[in-house]
Amino acid sequence: MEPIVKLENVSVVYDLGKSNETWALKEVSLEIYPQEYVIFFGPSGCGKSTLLYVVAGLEIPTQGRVIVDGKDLKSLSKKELIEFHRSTIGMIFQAFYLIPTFNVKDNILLPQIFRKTSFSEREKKVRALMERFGIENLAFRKPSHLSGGQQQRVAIARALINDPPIILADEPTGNLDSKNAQIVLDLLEELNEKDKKTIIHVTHNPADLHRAHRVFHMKDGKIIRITRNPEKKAPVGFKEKISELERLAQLYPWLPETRLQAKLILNHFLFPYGRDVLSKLELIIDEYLSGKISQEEMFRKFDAPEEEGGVNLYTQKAKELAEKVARLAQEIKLAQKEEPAPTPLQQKVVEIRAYLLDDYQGKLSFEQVKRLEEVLAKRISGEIGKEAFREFLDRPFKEGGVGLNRRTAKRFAEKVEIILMRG
Amino acid sequence: MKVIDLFHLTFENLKSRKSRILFTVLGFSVAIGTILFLVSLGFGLQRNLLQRVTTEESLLTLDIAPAESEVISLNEETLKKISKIPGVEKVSPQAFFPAQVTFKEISSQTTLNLVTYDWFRLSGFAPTIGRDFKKSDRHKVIVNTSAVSLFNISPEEFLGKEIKLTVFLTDEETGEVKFFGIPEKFEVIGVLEEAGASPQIYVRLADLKDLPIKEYQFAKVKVRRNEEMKEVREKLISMGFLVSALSDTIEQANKIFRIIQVVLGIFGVVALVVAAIGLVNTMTITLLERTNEIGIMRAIGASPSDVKWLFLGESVITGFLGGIGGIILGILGAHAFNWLINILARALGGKEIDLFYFPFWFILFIILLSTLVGLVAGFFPARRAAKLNPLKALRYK
Repeated sequence: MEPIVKLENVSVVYDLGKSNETWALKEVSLEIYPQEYVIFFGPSGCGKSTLLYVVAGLEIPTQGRVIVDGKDLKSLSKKELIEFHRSTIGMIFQAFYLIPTFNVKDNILLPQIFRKTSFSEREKKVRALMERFGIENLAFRKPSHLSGGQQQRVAIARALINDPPIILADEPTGNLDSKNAQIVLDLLEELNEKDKKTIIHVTHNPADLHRAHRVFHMKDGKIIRITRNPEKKAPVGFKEKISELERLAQLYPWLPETRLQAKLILNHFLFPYGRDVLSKLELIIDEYLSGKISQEEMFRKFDAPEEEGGVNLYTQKAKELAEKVARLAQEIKLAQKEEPAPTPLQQKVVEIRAYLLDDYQGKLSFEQVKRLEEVLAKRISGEIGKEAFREFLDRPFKEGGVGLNRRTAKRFAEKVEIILMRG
Repeated sequence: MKVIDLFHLTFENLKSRKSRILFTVLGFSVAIGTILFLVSLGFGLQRNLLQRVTTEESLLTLDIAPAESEVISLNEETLKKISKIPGVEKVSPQAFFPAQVTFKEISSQTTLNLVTYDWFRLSGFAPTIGRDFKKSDRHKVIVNTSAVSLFNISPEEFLGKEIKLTVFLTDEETGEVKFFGIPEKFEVIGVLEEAGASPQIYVRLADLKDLPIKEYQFAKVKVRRNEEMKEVREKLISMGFLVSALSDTIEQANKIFRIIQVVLGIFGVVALVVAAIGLVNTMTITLLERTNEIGIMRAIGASPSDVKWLFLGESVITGFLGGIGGIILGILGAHAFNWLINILARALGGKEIDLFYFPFWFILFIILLSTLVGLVAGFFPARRAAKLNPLKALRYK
């Protein structure tokens, strides 16, 4: 089955190229299938909301491809993008985001109003939705006279009125008490199960996780782990192989990553030790994996007597174990594609690039920044001269240059020369 | 978005910010009211003047009098000649001389004007009390207000009363003054309002055919069509007459009034500009206040043009309401001012007048103008609103 949402290497970067450059999303790829209920889970600032708005077409990625409901969002014209908002996406927000000046009915009707549907048609729809969510008696009240739970139900009705296949919910329970939060979560599940909507739900509350088919755990703009809910049957036709680590994560969803890795390694050995020894070993390996102790220290801790806080293994066994742990840890590290440390030249390039762009008013694309860095490297290493450097900055982007205007190119070139002269 | 939805949503938006909109509309109303007040004062003054003179016939009439040199005189012969000039429809001569009027026991000196029955129509004046001459009238007289005041009676009471006339004629050769007592009594049928004029009475030539009148002092020459005015006028001048036309005077008066209206209008426009800047300010504040709402609407499917129209709708309706309010304020103000002026006029013994005149087209124009100003004032805030980045707007706090 084709995924309904597909992201390929999507990055969102703010203040690209400047020294306060922030990567809200870093090369995220994911696939979400029709009628799936997924959760983007992570601490605040991990990029989960940004990811949601990328899917919504409101956040334009700095690079990468976003395909929703068969449409590549980058290739859509402005008009098509608006039509996409109207027909494909329904949004629910943490702060409900009802328009305070309009009454409940008008609020629900807004997406239909923007779509210019006929009065009889929209009247039918709004009636049915208000009845379904038990808010028909509130039709002519202003949102400020409603409780939070009522407001969120109105917002859900609004998200549904255009009958979009995908519902995006950005922390929908964040402003609700636990009882109303339950109601809203039940509603989302119902929309998924009965109405066959694909639900993408952003939350930082671990208690919500069991509602989803899959959970995308996020940290620092990356998806660090995908877990599947064994309790819920995935929608038809959807299959994906699960790694050993993922399976473990489903069993212990609350554990930090290194602890899970520690568990994996231990399971690997099928240690014949008792429970307390196991947990001691686990803690020591955790320390090693999070970089608090070296391999040598780990070995000593395995070896040391219990009175000194060790595990009291045989020295030979302890050594062997420490080596194995280190080797496996290395493998895990490799699997995580650790970025190589930047060379001094690269560091210098990044420094100068940020210095140049910090007081630059315009905005460069990802490719432009890349080209700027390339030509900076050439200039710093002396591969090209001052004039050629300036010309490359000035040359239109289509002709392979950076595409700056003449004055900016000149200014940048002069600045770079001054920096180079100073060494 | 459908127009009807736009109206509905705009009204909901306006309703929720009643006091702010009220003050903006009030500012607008004051400006529009000022324009209406000033310009309709101009219209009113113009109308007051023109109403007294303009019959269509009077605009086609030339007044002639013999030039001072004794080249030509207005006698029956020349009148005939004039009436044969191509384009001339009719000639209406006028002679005047002193006469004595007797009413009951009182006798007074007045000037007697001998005129044709259609003289008033040609001159553009008409009696304000009573009526004008009819062709069939015999022995009727029209008097002016100062003639009425000689007899210590009100103009209304004077109507229908009969007077006796004695005419003084000077023999041109001997210089001797002869008295002609007219045996018939004359019935007063109309009173002319002429402020500050000497006592005048008007009697038809046909009633006093027997008087030995050799020449007339003035004549009115009615031309058939406007296009022939110039030609006839030149012909009359070449015959040695002094020619003037009411239409000249009116044209000049109209020119002056147009200038007055424009000047008054400019004062009003200054007020309107101030109000428009106020509206731009209000709309900009609204924009900042609604930034979050704009983000929400964009997120749930509003296009930039939907957002733009929501803003424009608001400013246009504000402008329109300002226009309506301005008309109410302007008319109320004008009535109040008129009332005060008339109290003053009455106290000083003058006559009551309507200083203001509100032509219907001008009221329509004012409403259109204020709506248009609303549109223009809303344009830039609306464009800014439409251009907002939806996500930034959504996160705006």
